[in-house]
This record gives sequence, C-alpha cells and structure tokens, in this order.
Amino acid sequence: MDTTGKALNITQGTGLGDYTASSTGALLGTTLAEKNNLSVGSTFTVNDQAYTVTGLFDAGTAFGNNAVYLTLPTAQTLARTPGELSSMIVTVNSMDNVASAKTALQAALGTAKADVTQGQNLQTAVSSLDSVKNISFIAFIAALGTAGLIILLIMVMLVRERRREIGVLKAIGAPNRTIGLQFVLEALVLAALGSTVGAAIASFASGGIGSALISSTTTTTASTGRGFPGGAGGGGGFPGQGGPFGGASQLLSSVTASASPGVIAGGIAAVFGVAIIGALVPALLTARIRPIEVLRGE
Amino acid sequence: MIEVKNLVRTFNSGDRTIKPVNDVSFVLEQGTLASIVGKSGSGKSTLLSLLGALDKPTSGDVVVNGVSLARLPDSRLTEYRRRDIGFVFQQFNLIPNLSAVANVMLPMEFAGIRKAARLQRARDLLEQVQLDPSKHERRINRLSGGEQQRVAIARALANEPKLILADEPTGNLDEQTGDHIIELLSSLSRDHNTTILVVTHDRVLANKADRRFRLQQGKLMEEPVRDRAVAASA
Repeated sequence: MDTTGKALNITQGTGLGDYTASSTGALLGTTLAEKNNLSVGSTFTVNDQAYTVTGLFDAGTAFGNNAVYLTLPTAQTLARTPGELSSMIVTVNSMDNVASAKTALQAALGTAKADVTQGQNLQTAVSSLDSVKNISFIAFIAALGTAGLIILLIMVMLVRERRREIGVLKAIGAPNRTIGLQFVLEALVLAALGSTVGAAIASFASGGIGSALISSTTTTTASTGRGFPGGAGGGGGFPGQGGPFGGASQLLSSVTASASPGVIAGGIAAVFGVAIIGALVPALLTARIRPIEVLRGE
Repeated sequence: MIEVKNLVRTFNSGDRTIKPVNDVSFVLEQGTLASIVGKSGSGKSTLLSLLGALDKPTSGDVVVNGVSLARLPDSRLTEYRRRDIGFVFQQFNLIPNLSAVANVMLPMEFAGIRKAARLQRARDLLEQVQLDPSKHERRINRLSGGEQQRVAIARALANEPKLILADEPTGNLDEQTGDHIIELLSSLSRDHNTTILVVTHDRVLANKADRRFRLQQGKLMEEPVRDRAVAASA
C-alpha cells in the first residue's frame, strides 16, 4: 500500500514478506530503480547498510515511482526512531465504519501520543458523489426521453411509409390485431437490436465518461457500465467524485461507473413501451381507414 | 347470391360531385361468371371496391347471401373479405418484399390455416396459374408484370372464396397465359360454383361471361350474351 493508501502494483520480483520484521529487502519504484540502474537482486547501500532489491513496483505516478519501501522496523532503525511512527494510514472497509474506527484508534493509541483524523474531504467526497449520481440520473432521464421521442418518430415514419401495405393486408382480410401485432413485433426487434448495440457501446464508453468526470489521479473501473437500452447509450450512474468536484478523489481507491438493475430495467421497459406505442398507435389508426382510401391514396 | 340495391358512390372534387356509381342494381346467382366493360374512368373499379367491401357506398346496399354489408361492423367486413372474397387488383397490390408463395399464403394465414397446408395450397395455386416453380420463392419485385398478375390471381383463390372480383385479370398477360386464366376462372364458376365478376377490356373474357354488363357514366346496363358454349367455341 502506498502513502495514499492505494495498493502497490509489483511489476517484478516479490514483496517484502513480513513487514513487521527487520529485513534488508527493499521495494523500489520503477523510476528510482531505473535512475540508479537497479533491478531485482541488486544491492545498494544507505548509511553503511546494504539492502537488496526484492521487487519493483509501479505506483502509477512519477512521484510514487521515485519511492523506496522497507519493512517498518528497518525503516525505523534507518530513521533512528525505533518504535515510533510519524503517520499511519488506516483504510476502513466502509464509510459507515469511519467514525467507530477513529474512536477505536484514538483509544488504542491515546490522545497524548497521537492525533487521529479522518480525510478532510470525506464529507465533500460523499456530497460530490451524490451530486454526480444526481447529475447522471438526470442525464439518464433526459437521454431516455430523447431516445423515446426518436424511437416514437421513427416508428411513426416507418408505419406511414407502409400505409399501402397495411391497406393491402386489410383488403385481403387481415384483422386489425394481426396488423398491430406485426408492427409491434417488428418494433420490438428493432428496439432489442438498438438496445444491444447501445448497451455494448455504453459498456465501453462508460469508463471513459467516468474518467472524464473523476480526477485523473483516481482509478476508474468500468465494471458494469451500462447505459439504458435503445441505442441512446451513455453510462448509467457514476457513484464517484473527484476532478472537478474537489480533491476528495484521493480518498477514493476506485470508482465504478455502473447502473443499478432497477435503472436498467426501467430503461428497458421505457424504451420497449415507447416502441410498442410508436408502432401500435399509427398502425391501428391506419388500419381503421377503409382499405380503398389507403390503396387509392398511394 | 349477390344483390346490389340502388348502389350510389359519390366523390367531391372541388365544387363538383362525381358519381362513378349511380343507382346501380343487379342480382348475381351463385356460380355466375359476369363481366363489366366500360371506358376508363366509368366507375368499374369503384363498383368492384364496393362489392368487395373495400369501400362504403354513399347510399344503397350490397346483400351477400342475405347479409347486408351496410350493416356489418368493420370487423365483420374484414372477415367477409377474408373468407368470402377473392380480389384481383388492377395494380396487383402484392407485398413487394415477400416471395410469390408467401404472398399467396397470406390470406390463408389470416384464415388460421396451418403452415404446411397453406404452403402446399399456395404452391398448387401458383402451378395452376402457370407460374414457373423456380419463381415461387422469388420476391415479388423481381417478377415481371405478368408473373405478378398470376400471383395476384393465385392469392385471390387462396381461401376458396365464394365471390371473385377481378379488375383486368388478363391485362398484363400474353395471349396464351390470358387464355389459360380465362379458362381457369370459367372452370371455377362452372365446376366450383364460384361467382366471378370481372372488369375487363378483354373481349374473349367478356364473351365467356354468363352475363355481361356495361358501365357508362355510373349507370350499369346489361347486354345480351351468346350462349357460353357458343362463345367458348367462337
């Protein structure tokens, strides 16, 4: 784990094993190793103490890759502060547990010896996350409405272009329900195809959209990133924050762009509903006209 | 039996009122082959549309086997077109993106006939109208006018209707195929007791009819015909 609490990515060699025991092993950032021509198995000396490189890591930033990590006792010996810590990062598994973890740490360390503080931007982070979530939900509704309108207009146009076909079907005895069902089925197939394409595009694009919203220093992971179906695409919700939302991004180890099952189900239902209405209404209105009016009118 | 009673159809064209069908009355017994001749625009197609329940008359009535079409709701008129009527349109009115056989199967599908039976019957009908079997699966828009006309005739026969209304059924056919279609229609009325009313300019077809009408300025007049056997040998 680095100084921001993020897990280190070891690219070569191994870690330091037991981090609580003295050891002459060292983990080097790739930049630092490169500058000093060091690789796994190389040795270097600090204050007359030789250390062996056990592994190299990539922290993802130039600053992070210029660091060296030793086991805690070794570092304390090197700094001539045995048994002391200047700072310690504690990662809590849930924001709900932050307050209780803070209390427990303070009690364990004692108020005379240590100050326990939580990330200063935690509340900002949470409120910013909510803002992003709200913004993405509004964008989702707007995109859904636009997609619905487009689908409706396309279906009306498609049905109008096929007025003559409806007239012919009526003339040879097709009941209105058969005509309506045929157009509805075609609309559903179109909507399903559009949804599939839209979902595929959104699942790839949502990571990029998430990255645009979240600070570049925050890892963004698009795990489910799905937009609503119907070809309108777009990432679902973005429960994350950072970048334009303040420095709270450092508190976040990963942000996932995802849409909840409820939102996805709502989107699917809305798009299919619009497709059905868009096909059924004009088809049935046309089917109500006397066949000869449609056939004569072409 | 079809009874046409004082049938009138008017259209408004600007300030003028046009009457393509003006107080037309006649009775056709079941199994009759009748022809209607007349100049273009004389109202022949409009009359066929009224008999086929594709249009509603301004006044008057068509009574088919005792049932008044004027009193039937739309759903029953659709059923009438599906079960009792076979319509051959002058413009064919086939579904262009379907194959010939699929077009012929359509009315049977609406009538609830199962797929295997309707496929077999569609193929038989296309053979009856002498459409080359290699063209049965061909899309309509890849068939010639004459071939499309034969598909349209086959479709009209699909549900074994009691009444066939045909608008220029031989108009796009060569003489040999036209003669075959005339013979087919004639045998349907003779052997299957199907009533057939054709609008035609084809003198051979008109002469084959049991009864011959002329429509002139919306008025229908019956013309005398020769005996069918005599006409056939002529």
